[in-house]
Amino acid sequence: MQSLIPLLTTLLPVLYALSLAAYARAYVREGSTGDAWGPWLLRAAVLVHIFYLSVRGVLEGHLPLASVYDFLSATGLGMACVYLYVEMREGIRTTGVFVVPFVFLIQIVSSAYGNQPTSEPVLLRPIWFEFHTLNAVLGYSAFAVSAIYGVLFLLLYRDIKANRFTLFFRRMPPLEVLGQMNIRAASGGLLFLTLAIAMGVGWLRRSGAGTFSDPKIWLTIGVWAIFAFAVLAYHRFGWRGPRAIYMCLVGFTTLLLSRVAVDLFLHSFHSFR
Amino acid sequence: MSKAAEASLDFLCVGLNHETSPLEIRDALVMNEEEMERAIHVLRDRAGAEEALILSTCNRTEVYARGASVADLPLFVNDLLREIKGMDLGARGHRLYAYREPDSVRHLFRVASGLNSQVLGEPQIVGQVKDAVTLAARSGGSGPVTERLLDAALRCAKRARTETGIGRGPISSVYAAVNLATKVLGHLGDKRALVIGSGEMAGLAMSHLMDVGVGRFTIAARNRERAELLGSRTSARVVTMEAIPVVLPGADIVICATSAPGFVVVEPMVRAAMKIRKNRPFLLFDLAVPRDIDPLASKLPNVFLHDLDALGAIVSQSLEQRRAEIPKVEAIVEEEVRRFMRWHRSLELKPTITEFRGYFERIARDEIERHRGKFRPEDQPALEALAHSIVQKLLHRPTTRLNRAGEDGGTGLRRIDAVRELFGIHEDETDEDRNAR
Repeated sequence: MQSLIPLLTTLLPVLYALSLAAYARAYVREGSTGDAWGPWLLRAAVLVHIFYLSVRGVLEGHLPLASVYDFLSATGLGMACVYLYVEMREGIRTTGVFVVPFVFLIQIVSSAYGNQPTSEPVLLRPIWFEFHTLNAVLGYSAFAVSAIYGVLFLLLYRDIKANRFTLFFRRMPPLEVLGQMNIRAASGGLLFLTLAIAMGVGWLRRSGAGTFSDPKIWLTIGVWAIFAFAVLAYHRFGWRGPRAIYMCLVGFTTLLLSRVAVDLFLHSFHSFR
Repeated sequence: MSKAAEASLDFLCVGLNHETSPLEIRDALVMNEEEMERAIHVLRDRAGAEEALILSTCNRTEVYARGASVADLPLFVNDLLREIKGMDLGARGHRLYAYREPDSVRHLFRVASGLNSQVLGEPQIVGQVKDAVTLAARSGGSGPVTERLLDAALRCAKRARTETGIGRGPISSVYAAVNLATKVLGHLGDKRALVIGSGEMAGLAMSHLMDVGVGRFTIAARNRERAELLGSRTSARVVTMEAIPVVLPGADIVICATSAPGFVVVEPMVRAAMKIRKNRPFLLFDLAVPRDIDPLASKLPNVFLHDLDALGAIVSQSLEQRRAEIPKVEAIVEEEVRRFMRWHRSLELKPTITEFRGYFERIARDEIERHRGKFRPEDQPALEALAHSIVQKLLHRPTTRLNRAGEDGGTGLRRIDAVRELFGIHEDETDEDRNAR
């Protein structure tokens, strides 16, 4: 099985690249009948990705989330899954060309630097902590997809306001739908992050392996609060348009900055390096 | 079928359209159903056409006829138009165009695909061709060739619409406005529209909005009577112009098309409405010249204000994209013309009889070969003679009847077509043709 790893680490970026090319081709060729290639290739890439992580899991005896590159790879897979779910639910394929490049880039970095087996970190040993990490990865992936939809919304909003009717205008779904896609992805992310926080807090209380004063915990709760407010504002206060989108983007930017800060400048008992 | 028809389709198209005639002539020659039926009867009775069809719209009046026995069909059609519509085109120095197959077939396919329309790729022409088919069938003008031809024309039109972008994008300002509303709000079924004005443009906008599912309308107009007439189609609420600030927040889409000299909707009005709407997206379309809506309103967040210039840009872009699709549609037309002409050639009598008989003789030969071992060598010639004789006797009556098909016009063609279909004689056809059938 070990011999499969180099093959799969090479195959994965290739499959994502092919899927991206198919999405790009369908995007440029309006009314193209080859629309289905992108989603099928992406599904194939997702299946291979799951197989790859499973093989790694079997070989290493733990979830392959021990290094920052593993974390990136899992986030790429999560983004692809979230995107495919949104695509199937909304029946809109033209946004794939904006999501898949990120998945491809993340995977190519992960494949280039993170294909060596890693020893199991002490933190990942309890099963609850593994689930905590898995939920966090899925949450971050959903937030990333939500942020991409948010940016697409703002670009389309600006184009329509300025009477710019380019290919982008023609290929994008309605603004209202983009807004829904943004908030749905954010809601999914919020759900996973809630689970991740709950599991993390439960594990911390029982194990006593760290402290609640850890900056990563508080920054994550901050991110959770921002997204919770964005989702609440959309559903309760009827926030629509750029205001709701900016809220989600602030949440995602905070998430990114907090991860960088925790990994580079602050001391945390459970950071990935 | 005459000998000439056996060799050629003898299918002519004679007419005029927006490219060859001014509006006043086209207008004067538009035929109603009764006139078209009369024209078809004249073509059959006096010109000896076996099949005839009239396509008469605001952009064209065209006569399609197969097997007409008159020497100069354009002259005959000229007389026909004078008789039915009272207009002598010859006296005005106006000439009709005339095409013989395959150009006549090609022309019909181009018309059905929207390539020959004044507004490139407009969809109404398909319905008009279908109406012409129905009318021809009702008045005895259709026959096996025109039926097949019109099926092919409609298939060509469908392919042009689904395989190319010839029908994509809005081609009028009002339609562009509705398209834009869909682009912002998505599904419009639960949205409310406020139409300001009661003129033609307002009516057109209402029709387009109704087409995409908008069901709740408010009309604000000075002329209450006209507004009520306009609103009667949708049980719209009619209000005065003074009530606009009151009804504005409740609308998701506002269409403004009045002839007022100044702004009818001003920025503070929109600002106040947005507060009540809790900032929900607001679509404002200003279809008036001079403008009805204060352009400052477009600065407000979530307010999308578009005037005729902006909508015109969408229309020009759509037309440009449609023009880029012409080569693809032309290729489809050529493919369909080739397919139709191939089908027509297959209806020639002699090859059909040869292939029909060959089909039976082949079966007899194969069966003799299969059972040869069961008979003594000295019995073989007798066996072959017996099989040949059975085939000859079986085929005698159908061959005689089939030979008579040549004299039975449309019925004969149908018989030939049925024999080819029944015995699978399609050696010239491609897989694509077979699928199309």
